[in-house]
Amino acid sequence: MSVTQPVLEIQGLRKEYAGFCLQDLSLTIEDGTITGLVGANGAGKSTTLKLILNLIRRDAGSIRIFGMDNRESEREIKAQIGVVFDEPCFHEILTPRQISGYMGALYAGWDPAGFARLLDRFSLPAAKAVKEFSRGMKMKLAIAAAMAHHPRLLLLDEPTSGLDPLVRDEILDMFLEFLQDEHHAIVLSSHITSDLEKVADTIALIDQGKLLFHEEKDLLREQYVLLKGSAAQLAKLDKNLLIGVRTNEYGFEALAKSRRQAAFAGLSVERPTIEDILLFFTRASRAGAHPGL
Amino acid sequence: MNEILGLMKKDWALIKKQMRLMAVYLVVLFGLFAFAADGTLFLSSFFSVLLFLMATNCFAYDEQVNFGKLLAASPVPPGRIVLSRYLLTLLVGTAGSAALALLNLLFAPLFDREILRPEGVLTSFLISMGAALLMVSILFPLFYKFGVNKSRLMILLVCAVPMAAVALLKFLVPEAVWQGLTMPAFLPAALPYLLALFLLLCLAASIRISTGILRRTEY
Repeated sequence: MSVTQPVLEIQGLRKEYAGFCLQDLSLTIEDGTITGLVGANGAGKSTTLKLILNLIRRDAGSIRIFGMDNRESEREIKAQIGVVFDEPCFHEILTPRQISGYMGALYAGWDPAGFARLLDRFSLPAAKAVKEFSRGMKMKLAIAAAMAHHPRLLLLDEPTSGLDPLVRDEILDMFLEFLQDEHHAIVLSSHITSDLEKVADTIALIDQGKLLFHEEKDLLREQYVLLKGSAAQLAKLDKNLLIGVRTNEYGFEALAKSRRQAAFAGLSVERPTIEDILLFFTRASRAGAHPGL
Repeated sequence: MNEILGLMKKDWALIKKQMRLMAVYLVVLFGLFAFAADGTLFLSSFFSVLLFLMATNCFAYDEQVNFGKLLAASPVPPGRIVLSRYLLTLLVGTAGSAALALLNLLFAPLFDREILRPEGVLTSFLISMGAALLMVSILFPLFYKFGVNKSRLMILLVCAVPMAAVALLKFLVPEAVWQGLTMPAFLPAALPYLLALFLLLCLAASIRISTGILRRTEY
């Protein structure tokens, strides 16, 4: 990773609810990167995004965006952030043209012509009421609105959830184009790991309010191997070498550090997907182990 | 200011259709009530109050799509968000009421009724607008705090508690005390101005409370 100005710095972030606690989360996100924020439902992904946006108040810790505290310089920061929530927030009876009318008043950098170009690109009719849009169209509208005021940072909470592969692909391409400006960054919360495989530079895994790791995607996949074998082979393996094991009627699958490959002779050794890594790490964490990288 | 105007424009776009529908109802009912004993004044005063409460639909529309979350993620300060809603309410209510008052005055020569003289029409509309502004001052902070749906029970309490208090007061305080009370000489003349000042203070307090609620709201 090249040395660039951190666009987002989170230190010791904490937020407590009844039955859930986001604990001591520290995360640094660099300019010019897409960070995939992943985790199971209820892990704390949306809570983290809401804390960054100051939609909920933190109990402890600090958040600096573009070098500024997110509470002290809230207006200045929010003018440079584009947000897409998991459910679109636009009134159903309004049209994209009407939405552009008031969004222009909310964001000083709003570009009506740019918004119109994005609508064209996404094939969204400017004069049709939002209630006539499909879910995919509503999400594309939300993304167009998030990008049309030329933000530096995009915060996206499961923007591709429930969308078909064609629409998801279109949206992901848009994100890659956004990153062509090296001063831009994206934080993308998702549990669709195939999307993150395609576009993410780094992956941050959160589970039960704790950050398990934040690492470069390619490095993650190089550091680990997915082992497959029979139950008999599993019995002979040193369990300390394994991050986690999953057994089935045919044998087992296990995640291990790739540098220990000499110990895996006779086993099927594959490159794991991001989903494999996330599953094993999450299970290991819940079992009380501390895998570490 | 641009932000306030933009949000007012958004709210107007939301209620425009209902305003047109309301205008149609008004025309039909106006025609029917014109020949009633009290003429159109009661109906017009009632619609005047309704105009001020049209903005409650905006609260409902916003809640439906969680628009508050999008606004909170934008650079617009809570004070301007709140002010835009109150300003639209005042604009729609006052302009609509003025139009209705003018209509009544225009139709007045057709019906020879005391109440339809200019002073009567003006008094009637000022009382309706005053009542509407008091309701807005009480309702809007409730909507910001509890949302439109949960506020419905609160609204009943807000109306019922003062009424119960007045009834209780009348029951508890002996008749002799009421009869012993005398109105200060200046009061009848000063009353309209005192009420106007009271309403302005209620509105200002309402805006301040609503802003504080919105500032503390979490999404």
